[in-house]
Amino acid sequence: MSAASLLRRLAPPALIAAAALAAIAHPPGRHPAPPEDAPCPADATALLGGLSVGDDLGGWRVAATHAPRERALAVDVARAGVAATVEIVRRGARPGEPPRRTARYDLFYRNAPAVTCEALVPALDALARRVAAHEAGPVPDGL
Amino acid sequence: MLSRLARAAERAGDALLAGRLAPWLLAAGYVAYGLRAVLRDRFLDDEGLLTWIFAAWLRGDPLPTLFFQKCKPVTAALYALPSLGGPRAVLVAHVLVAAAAIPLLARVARARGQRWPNLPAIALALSPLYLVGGPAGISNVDGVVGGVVFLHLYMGAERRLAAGVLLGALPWVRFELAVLVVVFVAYDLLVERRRALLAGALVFPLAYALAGALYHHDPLWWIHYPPSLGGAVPGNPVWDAIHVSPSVAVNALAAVTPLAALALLAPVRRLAGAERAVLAYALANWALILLLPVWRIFNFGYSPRYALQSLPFAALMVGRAVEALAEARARAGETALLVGALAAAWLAARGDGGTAALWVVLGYAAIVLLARASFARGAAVAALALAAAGPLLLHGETQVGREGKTPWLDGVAGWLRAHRGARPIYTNANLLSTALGGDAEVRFLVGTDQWYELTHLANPHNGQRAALERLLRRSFYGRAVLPSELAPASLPPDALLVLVDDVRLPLAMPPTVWAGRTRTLADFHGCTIAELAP
Repeated sequence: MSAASLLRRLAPPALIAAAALAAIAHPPGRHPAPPEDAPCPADATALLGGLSVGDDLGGWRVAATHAPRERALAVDVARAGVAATVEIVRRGARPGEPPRRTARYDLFYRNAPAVTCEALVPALDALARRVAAHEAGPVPDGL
Repeated sequence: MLSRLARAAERAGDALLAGRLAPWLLAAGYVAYGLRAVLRDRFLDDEGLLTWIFAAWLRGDPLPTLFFQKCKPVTAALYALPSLGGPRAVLVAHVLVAAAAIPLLARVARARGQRWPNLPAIALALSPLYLVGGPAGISNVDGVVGGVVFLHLYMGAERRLAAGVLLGALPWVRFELAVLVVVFVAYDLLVERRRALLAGALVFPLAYALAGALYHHDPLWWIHYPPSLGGAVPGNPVWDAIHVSPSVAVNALAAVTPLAALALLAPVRRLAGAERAVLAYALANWALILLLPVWRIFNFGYSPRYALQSLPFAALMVGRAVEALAEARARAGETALLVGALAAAWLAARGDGGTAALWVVLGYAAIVLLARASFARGAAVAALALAAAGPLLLHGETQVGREGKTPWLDGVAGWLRAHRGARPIYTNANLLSTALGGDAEVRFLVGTDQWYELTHLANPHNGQRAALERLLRRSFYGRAVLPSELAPASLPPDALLVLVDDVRLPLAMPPTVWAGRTRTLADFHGCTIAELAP
């Protein structure tokens, strides 16, 4: 077999290997997840209208705001020993009907089992109003 | 010196790929790994514990369980005796059964004249899902073992009637194996023009249906009380969370074996006899496990383990494909496969940011490269290396075992050991009872979807449903509490509630009843420990 013929045979798998290596080095969907206790970055805080720990959200106290993880921006709220987490995701990014939505975002909640959606509605409404007022800006990184 | 080293490497490669001892050593390694995992509860899994639960039910009250198709009666019968020793005894037996299939698959490949007959066995033993599934106890592994024994009887030992008898029983090991029955009976009847397989395949279903008719007093009991619901449980919010994406599909197949896609390079025209049926079944399984959840048929959710039934069949075809690659017979499809695999892996990475599938493509490229450079044995060794890398690359994609699903389990169990005293535990956490061991009585809150299935798949007229309810109360991830019995007033005042954050929980604990009735004691991110509010 000539060298040219051998090269022609080896070129396709070699090119695929190179492409795979390039994609491994720069994965197309990789958004490095921040650590769980990472502070909420400026762009995400802007979407929340500057919300910070201790603020009131419809009778619930903001316990923490987190950096986006797994394409969700989480806000922990608490009231009288009960805690819940409201998550903001881009419209349609998560299956299911969100309890509240704005023009560009869906709001879901994760909760301790005894917290009802009804009890969380004031917090959801207050957060949805904030997001709606600030959603014209750029989508925060990681959402 | 160099040539001596090269010869030693060649001999080692041959021993691994074709030696008769290697599959037994692999099986021994599988047993050692599996037993260590069982003893450490490493892959404790809710579906795996069901194997023990149903086996114990069968031993406790044989007839109602035997004719309750949901419990996979053939699997339950297989583990009835080990269930005397509790869940870990069943898991140990499960590891041994799984290991037995490894040398048997090598034997099938050798009987079919494969050049490297150990390669399919290596793909089986080192499958990320099979490696975890044995010690986890999931019944999908039993389905794989059944498939391998069938292949041995049908293609290795050529005992078609016995193969048929086993084949007919396999749908009561895993219901997905009904497709295997259809594919091979059709092949045997239409292509081979023989009836032995069909005759054998009718034995178990007919005997089971007739015996069941006597028990149920209903000749059509197997339709009236089927093995699975025809569709989703109404109102079950889990269905909202099921969606199939490129990353889900690609990672699921890779978790079965990273070599899976190579099966597509099996030289169809040169496949002998039933090997075409082997390839057809592997492809049919892959198509169905992707489409059933999309179409929401048979209450199928989505989990990579549903694709596991294809493993021995795909592994045999991988053996043929690597053989063809080494003999430069599959050239036309090679580049197309590499391009397709790269596109799929890229889409998968785009979806979830993971690179495991891209590493797999790199492995495929290396195999093809070596084959085209006329290093035949090198290509086979590269396939072996890719299989060996599978458990490291793809362990996270198996979705089996406690690590991914219940990372809070050790924390919760530790908190309870330190703080519970003599307080009764009520929980919807499937693994808690086993994790706490025999020293704590745990009341398991049966989910409304679980109760719906039991009541719709069991006969209420002949005492079966009542018998199963008694078994359920005695042993179902603890002592069961039915959804209708759960209310704040019905619990002891000192009860501890260990509640997993599950979308189905509000169905069993409606917020209208439970809001404000509990007080959180500890939060483990995904699982809350609470008590009744004063």
